[in-house]
Amino acid sequence: MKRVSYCLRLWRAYLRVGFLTMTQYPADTVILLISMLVREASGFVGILAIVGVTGGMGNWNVYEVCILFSMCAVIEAIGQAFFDNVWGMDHMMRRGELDVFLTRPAPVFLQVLGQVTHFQAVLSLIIYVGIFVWAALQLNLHIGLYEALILVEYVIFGTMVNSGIYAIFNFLNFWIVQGEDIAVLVQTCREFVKYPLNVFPAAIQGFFTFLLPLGFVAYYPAMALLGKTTLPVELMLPAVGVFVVFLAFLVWRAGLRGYNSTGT
Amino acid sequence: MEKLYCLIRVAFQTKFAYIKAFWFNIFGTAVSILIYYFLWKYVFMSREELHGFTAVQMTTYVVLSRTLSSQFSGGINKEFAEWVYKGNIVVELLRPVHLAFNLFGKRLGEFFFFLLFKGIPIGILGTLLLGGCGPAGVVEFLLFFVSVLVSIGILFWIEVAVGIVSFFTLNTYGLAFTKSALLSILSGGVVPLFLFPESVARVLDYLPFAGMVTVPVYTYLGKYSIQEAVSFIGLQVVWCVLLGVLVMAFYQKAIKKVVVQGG
Repeated sequence: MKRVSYCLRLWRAYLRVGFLTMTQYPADTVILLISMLVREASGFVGILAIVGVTGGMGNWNVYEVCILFSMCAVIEAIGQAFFDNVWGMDHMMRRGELDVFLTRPAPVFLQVLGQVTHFQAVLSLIIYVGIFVWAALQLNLHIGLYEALILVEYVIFGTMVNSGIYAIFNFLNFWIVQGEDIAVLVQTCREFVKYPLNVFPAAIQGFFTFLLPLGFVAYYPAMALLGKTTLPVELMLPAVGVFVVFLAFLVWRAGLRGYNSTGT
Repeated sequence: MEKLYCLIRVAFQTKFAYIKAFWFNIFGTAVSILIYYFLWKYVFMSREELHGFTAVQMTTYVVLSRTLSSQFSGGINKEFAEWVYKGNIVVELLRPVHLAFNLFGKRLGEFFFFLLFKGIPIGILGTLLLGGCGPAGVVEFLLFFVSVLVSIGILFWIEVAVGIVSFFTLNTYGLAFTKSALLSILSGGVVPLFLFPESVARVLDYLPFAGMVTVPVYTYLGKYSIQEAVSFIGLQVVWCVLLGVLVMAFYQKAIKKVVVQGG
């Protein structure tokens, strides 16, 4: 118990440092925020323009597409805000920075995550939540007990799936040089799940459901919210989320055990 | 001319040394082509044509536009920014060739590499595998190449401008992302410009960004008559010169501000 409260205190301290860093470089903060928004926007503009002409995509109308897109973006923003430093693994290992963390008494992974927090992502998150609420109002979306449960689960387990997958592939750095490239590939593939997956061939749907379960980040929760599926999404989400994080944990442990420094 | 040739060769060879990293880059472009290919395929399941585009033409548009706009994520702005960040800019400023000339040589080398290892293979493979169409005619095909060449000039000046901004901020990563995403949207690299509201689309048609994707691809597909294509390419040239003057003025101002960190 003492350990947990210690970790929480440490985490809060890291967040504070992250916040102070952000306020120290106002120009950089603004640029980062803009870049985050514009990056999401380019895909959004594309699908909106297409849906605007055709009136819908599959059985998804404009507002439903907005819901899916904003849900996907919210999870990515949470990852960018608090779990972004899994992308720094490559850098930290090559520079031998990871060794510093190994000598300290706190959990290594917590220290890794604590190095980078982007509070800018919290701002972009608010915008995506705004889009979600707007689209939900347009659709007259009924939020009952079931929908509320799905939303809560989606935020928790969607983040676990998303950041967990990023983490797993970045942990490959333990064994291969430039493992980051593979993680970037995965992130590129993630583009698919921003769109209604049922538009794509069955092979792609299967891939993002069973092999690389990024479909659970937003697609399946959105389907459950919009009443498009009879699948027990409320059970699948925790299962997939916990599984991915557990896998990430195993990979991390195996990697750390076999880790020998770069020797600089 | 000889100097330019050498600069191009060096940049080309540097890129070639990192060809393994380039495979990942190609994969990224392929994924983005596939996404839009499937989206449009879905759209064309329920209709014959959209704004004069048939399914085959739209496939071609996707392949060419995504390939062309994949250039936006690279460019010399990163290297330029790194010079400033690391202080190498001092050495570069002392060289007997002008900084802009040096950068242009590098940019051309990168472009030829792109053309040889990505543009041509992906263009041909994508068209064959996904079922696109060839160019509308020989003249259109030649004009397409001219247009792509001129667009490198426009792109170069935009990249220099973005690079100069890094004199004032350290977050070059964010800048590079913003640049590539904005250019993709404005040039028609994400979706054809006619899908935007009409007034917006009309303005975008005449801005320099359209010259990097819309003008070459429309020319290729024969959406422009020869006369229109030539005048649009003329407009590109005008933009290229205009941007060059503006960016160089900006450069002269900014270069006085350079404070290089010691070390």
